[in-house]
Amino acid sequence: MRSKGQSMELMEILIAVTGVCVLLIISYFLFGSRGSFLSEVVTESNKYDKMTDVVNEFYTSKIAGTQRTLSQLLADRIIAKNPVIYGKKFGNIDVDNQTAQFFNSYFGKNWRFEVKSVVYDVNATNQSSSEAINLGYRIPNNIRRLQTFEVLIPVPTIENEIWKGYLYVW
Amino acid sequence: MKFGKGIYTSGKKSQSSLLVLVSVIAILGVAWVGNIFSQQTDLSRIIESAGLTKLVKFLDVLKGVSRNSLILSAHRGTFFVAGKGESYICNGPTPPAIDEIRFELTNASLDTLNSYVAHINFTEATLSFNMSNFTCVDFPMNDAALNSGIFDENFSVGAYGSVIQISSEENNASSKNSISEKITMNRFWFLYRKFRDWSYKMSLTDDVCNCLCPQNVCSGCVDASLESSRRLLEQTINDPEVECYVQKTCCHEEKVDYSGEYYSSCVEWPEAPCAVCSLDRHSDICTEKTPFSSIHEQQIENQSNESNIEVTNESSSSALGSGNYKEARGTVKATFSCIDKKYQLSLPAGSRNLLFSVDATVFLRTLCPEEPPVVSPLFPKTSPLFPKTSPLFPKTDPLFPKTSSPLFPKTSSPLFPKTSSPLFPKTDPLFPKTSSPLFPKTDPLFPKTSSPLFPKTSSPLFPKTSSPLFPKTSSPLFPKTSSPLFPKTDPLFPKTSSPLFPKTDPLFPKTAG
Repeated sequence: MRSKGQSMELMEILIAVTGVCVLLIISYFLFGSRGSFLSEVVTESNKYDKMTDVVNEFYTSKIAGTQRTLSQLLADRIIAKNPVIYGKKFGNIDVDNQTAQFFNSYFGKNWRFEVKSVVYDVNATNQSSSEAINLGYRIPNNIRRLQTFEVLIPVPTIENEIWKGYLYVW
Repeated sequence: MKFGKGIYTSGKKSQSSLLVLVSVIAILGVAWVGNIFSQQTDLSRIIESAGLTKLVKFLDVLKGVSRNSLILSAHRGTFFVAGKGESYICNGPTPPAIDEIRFELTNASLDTLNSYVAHINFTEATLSFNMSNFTCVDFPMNDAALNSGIFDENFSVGAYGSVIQISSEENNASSKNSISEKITMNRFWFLYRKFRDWSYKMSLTDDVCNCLCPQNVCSGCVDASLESSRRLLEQTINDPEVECYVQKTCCHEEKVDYSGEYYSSCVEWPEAPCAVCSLDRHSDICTEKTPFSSIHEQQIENQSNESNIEVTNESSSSALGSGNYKEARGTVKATFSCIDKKYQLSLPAGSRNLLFSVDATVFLRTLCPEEPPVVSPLFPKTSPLFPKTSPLFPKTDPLFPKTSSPLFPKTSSPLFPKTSSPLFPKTDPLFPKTSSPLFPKTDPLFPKTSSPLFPKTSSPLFPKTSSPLFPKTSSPLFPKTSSPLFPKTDPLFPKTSSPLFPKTDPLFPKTAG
């Protein structure tokens, strides 16, 4: 009888331990999945912040030796051919190279920048686009997370067009 | 007893184990639920924070697009205003004021900027935005800043009045889109300052006035004046990267009989074919947009108050008004343009140099004695040697002129260099030592080199080829054909009128006493 009691007690302890373990495992998965979701949100947010920071730099900081923003340089590059001629003072500027250097410094070799012209309809509601300038590296096929950011580039045309650039980062 | 006790003990232990188990489960459950709530709160806070950050960053991006649009708009505005051909000379200096220029820049840039704003369109689905139009593009500038030259190469521009509203599923953000940008490598204000200074120095109006009576406004007289004005412009700008040009766009002259009241000097001729100056200017900077009509040229009428041309009233000059007069009228319009090759602007046709163009318009009339009863143009009324008024000999001493005249010019001209007068050069006119276009270094009577008055193969006394003063077949002393200075008849005892030798004896006029 003693051994039966003992075994019963052992059984109960075993059940209790098993129950605790099951609860721990369940809570781990519950908490863990939320945690990974949280970290994913934070990571995505940080990446987005970085991209927007880079794009803001693209708009505001002036490239050394040109006194123009990269957006301005690309706008002139869209109108003229590369390299763009900037007169006696600055000579010719290789805008493609300047752009590549700029994005390389932030994203290494994990970026691609495509500029597409936007042709506006008369009523300016519909628009069609065609590819114009491609810079950077090839996007890998099996990339898990590819972030895309739309970069608008005001271009000095008669219609005051704004072309669209797409910055891909992985 | 043992058994029973054992059973009792076992039952107690079993109960305690169950209690422990239930307690552990309860504790874990409470912890779990608490954690879930806690994490939920953290997660929602992080997501909310990320969403807000995203909105703010997107706001910055929109402002970045606005900034670059503003830069391009400023380039377009300065290029447009510089090339518009504003009247800086309209019978005198009439350069626009700084605020008038600012008003034009505002108008030229604002439309472009708002056109860019209308084209801003993101396709990102999670965020929607609305950007209202700008109401003002301001180019801050004043006299002190302009004259100091600190904005010669760079200047600021601001755009105001726009509001950005961004909304996502969870958040909304709104911000004033007031932006300011430094426009670099653009010498608009530099060129404006130089053109403005030049307009007060150039003497086109005086030159045209002096060309009226000889009736050679459109036949060389004004061309020389335009060229000297162009040179003066380049000297004023004094920059090797800037090249200036002048183009005469209109020229007309006529001489008609005059029977009205006498007036001296030159007065405006508003009916002239080229008498148009674009002077419709506004200076109400950054107010609600007003209709802007300065692009259209305005017919200038009755603007004698704006002119620096002297209008002499009848009473003061009627004493001179005995005799027959013809009214000589002339008008000249020219465009002075300077291109700045130092920098290039971002413009629709690609990068281009800044081209600054201004119009100079002069439309004048004056009375010219047709057959002066008393005076001759060379030796007028009062005294042959000290005339009072004459288109060729101004009020001052003809031998030592102070005012400008075609024969005694104030400023340098290709035909009449500064240091000399064609008739009275520094050195002996008959035996000059220094070169003059009219009296070259060689013997003027027997020249070896070409001169406008004494061409190469001719002698002034015995010309072989044609000269403006001594036509082909004539000799200055014994002319056969008419010459402006020496008509057909004997020059010393003329029978016909000539500007230099009128009918009457120039040295002893009959009525001069």
